Amino acid sequence: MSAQVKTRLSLFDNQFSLSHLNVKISDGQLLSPYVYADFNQLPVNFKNGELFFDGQNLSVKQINFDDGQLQLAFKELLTDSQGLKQLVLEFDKMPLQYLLKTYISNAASVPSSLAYFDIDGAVKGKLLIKQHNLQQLAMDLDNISLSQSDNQQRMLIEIYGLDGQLVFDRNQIQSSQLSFEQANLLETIPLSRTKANFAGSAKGFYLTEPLGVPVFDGKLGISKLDIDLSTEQPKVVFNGALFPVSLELVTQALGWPVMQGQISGLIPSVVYHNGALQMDANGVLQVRAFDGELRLSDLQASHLLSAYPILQTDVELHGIDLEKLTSTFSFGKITGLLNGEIKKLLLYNWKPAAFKADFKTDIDSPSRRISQRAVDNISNLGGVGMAGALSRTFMRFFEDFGYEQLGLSCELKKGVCKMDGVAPAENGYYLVKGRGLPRIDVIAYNRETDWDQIVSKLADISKGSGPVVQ
Amino acid sequence: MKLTKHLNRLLTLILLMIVSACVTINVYFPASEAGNAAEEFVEDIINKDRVEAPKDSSLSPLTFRQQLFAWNVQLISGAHAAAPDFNIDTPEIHRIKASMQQRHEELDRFYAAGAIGFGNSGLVAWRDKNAVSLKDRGRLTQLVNAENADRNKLYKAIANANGHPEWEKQVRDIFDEKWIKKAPVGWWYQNAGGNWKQK
Repeated sequence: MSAQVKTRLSLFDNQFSLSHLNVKISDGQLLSPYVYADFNQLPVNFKNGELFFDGQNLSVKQINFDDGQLQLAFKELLTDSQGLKQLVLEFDKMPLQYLLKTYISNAASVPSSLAYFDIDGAVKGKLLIKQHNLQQLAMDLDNISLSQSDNQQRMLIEIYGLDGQLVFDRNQIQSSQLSFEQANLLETIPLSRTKANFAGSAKGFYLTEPLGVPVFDGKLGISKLDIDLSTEQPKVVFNGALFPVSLELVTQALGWPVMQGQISGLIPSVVYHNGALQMDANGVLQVRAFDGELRLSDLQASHLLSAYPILQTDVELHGIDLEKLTSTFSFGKITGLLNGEIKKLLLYNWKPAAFKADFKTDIDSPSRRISQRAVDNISNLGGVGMAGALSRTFMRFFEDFGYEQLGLSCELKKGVCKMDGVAPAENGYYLVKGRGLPRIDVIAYNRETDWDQIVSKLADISKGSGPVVQ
Repeated sequence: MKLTKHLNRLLTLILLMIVSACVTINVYFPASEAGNAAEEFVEDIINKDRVEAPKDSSLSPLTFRQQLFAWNVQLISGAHAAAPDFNIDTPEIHRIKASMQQRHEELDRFYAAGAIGFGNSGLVAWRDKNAVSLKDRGRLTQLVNAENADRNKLYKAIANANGHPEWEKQVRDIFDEKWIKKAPVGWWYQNAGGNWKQK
């Protein structure tokens, strides 16, 4: 490292003081836990320094840092054997992206996910470090944007138009305010203008007013959001409710076939700690779709906003109108009402990895008819293999058939679906139990099927390509 | 009478000794099953990109939207083949594995350059800081710290998944062996004595 130094030096024993210190460092590199600098690329200047070294510890009354883009005023800096003991730092228009990319991203002890963190905008503020701890911080944010992606360039979270006045005191509760214009989660869930008023200290933070976060065309109402910083990992407790969001918008955003309906929910308590999220037993998310209802409860999640989220929930279905469901997915018309449950649905990275599902039609459904095409598709799914055989018999004269009950159960474990139907049959089980004349029964014999195959077939069916005759 | 009583006592004592001898349970660490599971895990991390199936464009990085509906794309292989008596099939372990696989893409060239290697406690260790520019050294330090944090979590999670938290050390040792075994030619590792060897 090489530097140009100009100063007035006074020496006394092993103490020295420097005044009017001006240093320019234009060569060399620095790698430390939180700072990396390449002075070849970017020379830096320290100006007007007043320093005193007493033989053991350094005290800096003041010194100004300037590298052309970033100006920082250091005052009352003290170090001791444990490192930085005291500091007053003021900054005006501190360019955040520049600071991050130039000095922090390549430092040794910052989290590796920082490489995928982006921030834009400038901040003004002042901080005070005393007794090795951050004692006070005041910051004005104006139109900041930030984002975190995973290492495959997929945005986990984006926030735009972040404004606010942050006031922090280690020992005394102070109030702050933050707002953003727009945000996006997982590139899929849009949030719009939100304003939060909160207070706290080093022990933790809490909302001073309920918070409403607009989501799609609905709203997430947060009545309580407590962040406890007294434990080793921050613990967050959250109470809220989801005011109806239109399913049409959600399915569009997900690129799914468009479904009509609504999602709403009561979230009496959610605890987030150590990357894991757990919804209180009384919490229920309700999805109204196909004139029926899905209820999600006992929701647990881990690392939701990461490259590998894990989610588990119980699902109950009531009164799903099969006619509406089958027409949305081009499955072939079936009329009737479907009930069911999916216990412990486990999603790894949003893909089902395990569950215990059971679906059955309601015997009291007003209309219970099933079309030829649906029979073919169900047969194919169950691996029955008589698909197409129907059309070769006199049955082809009938467009649809009455049924008594239809249903399917599947227990997914390690890529294999253990299957069952609505009633036992000789050596197998009924997927469709017929009714009246002409009567059609679909009986399956495969007890175990490969899950990937089922999904592939479902995808083919909903894409409209006919079932493959096996 | 007295003799019978003593005899009874003696018989009871002998019976107790026999019974307790039969009831003594030694739970041995299933080294062979653990070894197979560990080797497959390590293989999936190190050689994921080397032994590449023909690149199917429909499988290249999915957006979240695609992923939410592309249920038939298997991200984690080996879920079916896990040894029946040794469990490495929990959500937490899958998550750690995915994290390690992604990080490995960045670490790969540093192993090849000899800057880092497999240390002798199942962790990644620095071998030669000078093999890396100062700029890369900061990033590599971050990655090594993150990788070792994952490995420590992994060994603990595997021991817990099998109901024996005290197996952590044995799990670590087995993995240590398998990292070295599966390391490609040219990579470095530390032997039991702490000396660096090249494969």
